[in-house]
Amino acid sequence: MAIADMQLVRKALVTLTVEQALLEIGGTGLLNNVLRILYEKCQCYLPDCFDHPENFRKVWSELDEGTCNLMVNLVKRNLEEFAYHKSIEQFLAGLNQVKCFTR
Amino acid sequence: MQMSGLDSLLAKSLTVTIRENLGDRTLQKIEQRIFERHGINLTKAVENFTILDGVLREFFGGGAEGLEKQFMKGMIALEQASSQEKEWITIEDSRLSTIILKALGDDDKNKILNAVIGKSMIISDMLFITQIPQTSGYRKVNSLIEDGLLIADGYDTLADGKTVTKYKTLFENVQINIVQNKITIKIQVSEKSLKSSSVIQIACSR
Repeated sequence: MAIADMQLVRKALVTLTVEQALLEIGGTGLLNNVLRILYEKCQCYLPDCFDHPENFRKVWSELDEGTCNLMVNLVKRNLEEFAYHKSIEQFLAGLNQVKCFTR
Repeated sequence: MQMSGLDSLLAKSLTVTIRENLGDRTLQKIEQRIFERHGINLTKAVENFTILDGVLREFFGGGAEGLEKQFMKGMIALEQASSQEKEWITIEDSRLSTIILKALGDDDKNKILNAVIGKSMIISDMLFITQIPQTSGYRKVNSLIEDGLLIADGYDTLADGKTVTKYKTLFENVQINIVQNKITIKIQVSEKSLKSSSVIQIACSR
């Protein structure tokens, strides 16, 4: 008997980690700002970024580089122990590419 | 007194919530009183919620009930059970959600939790069945016990006469839902776990 769909677990884990990183860096203001930009510019929600981390590119273009780098580094650190899963590894790689792009 | 697994799971987050809700001076007085009366700290008092309830009543009288409800708000919500189904507990606190998702997202911990849903086992049997190496296996089992996701459920006597504790998964069912930006985690625990949880019995059942 499986407790839950693993892909759904990973998606929820990644979303919650990103959410907590944003709250830690800039409180609810930053989180709401990111959610708004994602919806307005990509017509997507935060959990959708698990499959499409490239959507963060449009968010980063509206935020300062320091905030983006802090957020990416925090998410990478908190998800490091799960990076052996292909989907999480791909998400982190995608996030890293977006970070590089903003530089 | 053996602590309920559900109380272990709730204790750490509940302690943070209590610290956030009470002013520094009140918190200090309450912590001092808990120590004077029972010789334990706030986290231990939360794990044995009856103790915290007693001290809160000393300070706030009947108002303690409202305070406890306030602490539980945003932490968990109990769903009324239908006649055939057990109650679902909705996890509303992100710290608790993270604990559960991190355990489910770890391959070894997930295997361990799956192996002992609804049936208790001693740790060495869990590791044998799941084929997890002993060293990392014991570390992961201990972490699950500490988080309250594995709960003690009886004993087994080994061939050499030693008595060892058997464990099983706290929840019997987990539901994860993602709707727009909201992630909802719901768990179903056994009737026994629900009844032995002092937090649920005192703070949620009034």
